[in-house]
Amino acid sequence: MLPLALIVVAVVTVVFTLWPVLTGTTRRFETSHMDTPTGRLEQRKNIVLRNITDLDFEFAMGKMAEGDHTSMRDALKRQAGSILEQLEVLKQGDAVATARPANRPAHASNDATTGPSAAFCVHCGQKLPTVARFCSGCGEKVVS
Amino acid sequence: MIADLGNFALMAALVFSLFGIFSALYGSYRDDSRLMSAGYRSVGAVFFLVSLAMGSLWYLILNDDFRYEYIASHSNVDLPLALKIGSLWSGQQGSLLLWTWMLTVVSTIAVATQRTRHNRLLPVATAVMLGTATFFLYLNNFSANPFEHLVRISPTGNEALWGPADGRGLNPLLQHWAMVIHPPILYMGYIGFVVPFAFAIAALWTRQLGSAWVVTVRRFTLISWALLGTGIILGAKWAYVELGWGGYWGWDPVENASLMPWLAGTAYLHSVIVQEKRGMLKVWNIVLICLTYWLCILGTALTRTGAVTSVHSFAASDIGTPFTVAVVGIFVGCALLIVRRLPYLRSENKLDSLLSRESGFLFNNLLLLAATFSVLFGVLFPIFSEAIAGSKVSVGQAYFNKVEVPLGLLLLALVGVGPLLSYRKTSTASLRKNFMMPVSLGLVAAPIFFILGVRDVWPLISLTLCVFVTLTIVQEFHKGTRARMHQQAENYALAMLNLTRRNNRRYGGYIVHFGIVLVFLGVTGSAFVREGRGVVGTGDEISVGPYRLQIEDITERDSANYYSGAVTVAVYQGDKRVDTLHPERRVYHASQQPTTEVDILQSPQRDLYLVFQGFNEDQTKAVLQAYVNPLVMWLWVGGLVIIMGTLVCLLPDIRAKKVH
Repeated sequence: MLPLALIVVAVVTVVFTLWPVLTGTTRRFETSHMDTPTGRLEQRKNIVLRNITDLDFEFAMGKMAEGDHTSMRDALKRQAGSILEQLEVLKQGDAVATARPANRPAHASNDATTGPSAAFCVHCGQKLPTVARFCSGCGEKVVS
Repeated sequence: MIADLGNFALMAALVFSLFGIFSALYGSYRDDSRLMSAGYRSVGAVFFLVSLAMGSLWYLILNDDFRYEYIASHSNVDLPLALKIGSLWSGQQGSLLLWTWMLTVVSTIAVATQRTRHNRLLPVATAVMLGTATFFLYLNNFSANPFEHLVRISPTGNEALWGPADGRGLNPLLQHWAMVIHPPILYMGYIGFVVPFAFAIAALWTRQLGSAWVVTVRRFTLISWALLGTGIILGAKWAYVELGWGGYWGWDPVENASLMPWLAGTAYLHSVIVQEKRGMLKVWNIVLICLTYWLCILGTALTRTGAVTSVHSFAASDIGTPFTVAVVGIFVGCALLIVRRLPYLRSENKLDSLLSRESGFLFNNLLLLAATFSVLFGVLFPIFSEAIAGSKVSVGQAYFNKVEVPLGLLLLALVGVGPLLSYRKTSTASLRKNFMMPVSLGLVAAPIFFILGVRDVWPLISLTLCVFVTLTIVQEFHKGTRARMHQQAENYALAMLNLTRRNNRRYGGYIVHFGIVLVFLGVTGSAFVREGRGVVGTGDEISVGPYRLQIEDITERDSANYYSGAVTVAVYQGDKRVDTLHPERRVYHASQQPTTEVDILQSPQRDLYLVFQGFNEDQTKAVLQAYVNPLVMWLWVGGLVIIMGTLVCLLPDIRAKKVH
């Protein structure tokens, strides 16, 4: 009885674990929108937009002087504008990206592209120190 | 046979865990989705196998199979069913198995929910989670195996398998409802931090140090933090009702071991908000989450290896070496990886002003870390003293109270100040606007408390701060509600509900803050404890605080599990009889260990806490100890409010959905 139980447990576990290897499943894991360069930029844009909404609400609550609200709102608007510009650059670069082989995942790309601004990652729009070799936002290589 | 199945499952789990590490990492290196997938599935396989081992041990316990050393030592035939189930985690080997099982549960949930996302982070995170599982499975298999047979050595030196007719029973102190749920909740809190730690390491390894890993682990961190906090509160409740010394927190090493990661985790939960909002404090966040996890492992190591003495630590065992290797390894590994990745952890923004929300979070980090390390120093002091002077010397409660009370009160003040500061900078005009009401009323409250008899400095500061922080929270809710009423034309109640629902993390956080205020209120009450003690017979009276206690009866009885003596006490306040209490003293048959079963008259103002300490020398009278503990109830209510606030924080984010 015991050997049979052990065999059943072993077989079930091995088959379950190795199923993708045994069946040769080559399904690639979906890259979530958040993991794409555009997705990361959009996420940053959403954060800035939410910061503006929160700031406006704090002002409406009466927690903030008008001068403080105006200056902080302007700073956030400039940040949002910069992100929107980078999104635009990425959209223009999409035409280049489509030339990449279809079976090659976006994240596996090592061909770091020189962007219009050396201060931002061309893959995700992350603001970068000039000495950076890899992007701190997406981990891609940076070429100045 | 069942034990063999359990043993086989544990060994197979170790093998699959090692395979999963290799498969996930090599699959990621080769960009082979089949191998990565097999790595992820290994997590599920390990969960299945460890569940099998858990099931096997439970089966043996419920069937009173005392041939196994663990079951003979921690259970007996007459133990009630709920306690038999709980006896699985009442000793070293079983609790380590429970620990491993919970680790596999959270790892499986993490992999199942994230497997279609983060295909660069997940393989490394999976390897880290399985690496942790491998460590604990090594202990389960080779150092603390719960399936070891009892062996009898005959006078001639021959060894033979043996099983007694009955076990030694569960430690009487653990025979309490809180002990059935306290360890699983606490362990889940501890081990839940493996997920944020694993993703943090994955982010460091892959250099993906943006906000993706932070967003991914947000809910896991919050749930773990809440469970750890709940476990701590339940532990305090158990100590209060079961240990019979009148208090709930004794700065015991095991209590401290759970408090340290909770403090570090609290710092992380706050600090990470700044990274999400402003891309700052990235180094802090990585360090804090690694520290939290390291403290979980360190605390476990200290209490399980016999390195420190505690009322609930486990007997010294041979798991010390593997734990030492793990503690040192995690510390060195994390430190090296963080140092190498420092260039990728630079802040995206600078600190604009000292009077800003960001600097508030930074001070919060510093204070919480100061509290964490001062507790750590106190916990490690006996080890240092033994290494230097050759004998273990504990620092005692006086040290902890002296250091932690001022730090705690500074933190409480920051709970009130922080939410009133703006991001970037707060002008003098804004400061005046936000602080006027709570500071003024707080300052009015202080002399009132003084007049009411609160003359000691620390309790006076604490109560004043409780008023101040409560007012800041009320002000935040009120101003937000008014703003929403104005914007959305809603009535007050609906506006407050929608305000909380639409900003659930922020306003849930405020509810948690209010829970913290209540906890401080409960703790402050300990400064006003009153005691009374008497050797009393039927008809005798003793007085303590506002109560007069009249002994009505002293009884003895014998049950299947224990023998007990009990005192029936009529409680009077003035001339009015308010309640009847029955403190009890038990001696358990299996272990012959005595315990006190206190009886408590609870009210929002104070608890009357009665302990029957036994009979006097000639066995004619009862020794009764009474405590009047003010405000204790608010500690437990505060714990519930913290859980409620955390649940609000965990609600799905409506605004994120809308933006998406």
